Amino acid sequence: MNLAGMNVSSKRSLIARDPDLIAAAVDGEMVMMSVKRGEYYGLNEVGARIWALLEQPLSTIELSERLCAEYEISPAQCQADVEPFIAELLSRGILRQQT
Amino acid sequence: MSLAGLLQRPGPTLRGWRQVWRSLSGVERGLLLPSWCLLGLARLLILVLEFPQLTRLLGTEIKTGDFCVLLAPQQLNRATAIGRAVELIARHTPWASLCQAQALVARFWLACFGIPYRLYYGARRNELGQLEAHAWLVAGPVFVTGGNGSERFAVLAGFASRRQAQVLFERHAQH
Repeated sequence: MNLAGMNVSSKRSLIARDPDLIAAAVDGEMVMMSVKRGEYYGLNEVGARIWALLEQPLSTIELSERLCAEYEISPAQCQADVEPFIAELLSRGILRQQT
Repeated sequence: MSLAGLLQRPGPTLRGWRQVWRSLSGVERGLLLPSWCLLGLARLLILVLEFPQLTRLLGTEIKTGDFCVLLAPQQLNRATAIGRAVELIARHTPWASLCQAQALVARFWLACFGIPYRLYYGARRNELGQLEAHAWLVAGPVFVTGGNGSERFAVLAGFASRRQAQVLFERHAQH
């Protein structure tokens, strides 16, 4: 699986929201816009939940743990699903890595 | 960006235009032709410029802030006239003059007349689940362009005239 820029050592680094993004909750989903990039983004309910959990910076491991507690999913599957999603959001500047 | 509530209608007949012309005020008539040209320029700028560069033409960034300033009656009339003229002529450009271009042109006229404004970008999911975006311009209580249906969109970015932005920031500082 291509983890698009995420290497093992970065799994412990914290993931945080880009503070310049403005996001709005609409019907349990999120819409957001980056003025810097001139792009709009939409997150579905699970994505919106991940965004909500990232109100405080978390590592992907902590994030997976919290998601596992809320959704009926195995830890391994959760981590496997979350990592590409986080990698995608990182590449788009929606989230950033804090060391 | 999708066509948020904007329809392209076939051009009116000559008689139709005469009726339209008669219904317009002096300010509106004067704005038609220059607005037509500016809409062309706006389209070019939107195509050529990166969004952050384009936003420098919009005013001071106010994010999702809102503060309705009181406008003098003449300013209210002018703002309404600008909106009517721009929205009218936007339907008759050979290229698509969408909400963003209209907001840009109308914002230019508001600045010319010294009328404070707020310009917002928003998004929503439409009935088909697609992400839809819209841009609209407000001066005081008047929706100048893009007002139709703007309440359905979540506000995600805002820009305002310098004076309007100053008032907004001062208000924030007070609380």
